[in-house]
Amino acid sequence: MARSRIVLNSRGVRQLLRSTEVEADLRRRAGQIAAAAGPGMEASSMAGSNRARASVITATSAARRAEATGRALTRSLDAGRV
Amino acid sequence: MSDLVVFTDVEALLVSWLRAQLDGSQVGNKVPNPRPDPFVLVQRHGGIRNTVVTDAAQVGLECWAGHDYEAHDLLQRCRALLLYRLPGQILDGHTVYRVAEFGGPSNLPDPASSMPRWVMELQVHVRGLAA
Repeated sequence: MARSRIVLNSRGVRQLLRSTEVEADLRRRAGQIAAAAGPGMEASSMAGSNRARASVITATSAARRAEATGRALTRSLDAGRV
Repeated sequence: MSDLVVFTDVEALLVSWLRAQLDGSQVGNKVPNPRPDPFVLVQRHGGIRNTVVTDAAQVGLECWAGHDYEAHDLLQRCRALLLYRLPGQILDGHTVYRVAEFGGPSNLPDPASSMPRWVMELQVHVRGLAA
């Protein structure tokens, strides 16, 4: 049986990973995680040099306390799966 | 043959297993009042079905002790046991396939008591049973 060889176009993959569509999807997921985690959680995104990324941070002291006591943000990661 | 797969209580499974592995440390899925010293809290924080028969539970570990280094060492002991001893074991009929790190060790002192506490997150893949 003939074997196929797949060669990735690194520049194209990088363009895809940095695309506005990928960043928008990551930002949407981060927003869902922040909303599930409760007040004071803040989502943001950016296109890095190789790929887009998103993050959720505890932006207020109440949010930091909610994470430290009940792991509010850690427990909400599943909200970003869909 | 049943077409249902029921997943087990991963918290209970891990609490029993860790309790047997750790001599002298209390392990539970709730923090007792008063909290023993040292103490290991094991709680499921989420995680979804990974395959038709496998549950990928996100499990949080929290270790308290009188001193910072004791809490750290206790967490590292739990981490080593779960990563290197647990995979391949059959607990109460449920095979543990894989344990992966989800969030590494973090120094997060208990805000209620200011006591030293180290925490981390793991993903534990456990096979369910036909109902």
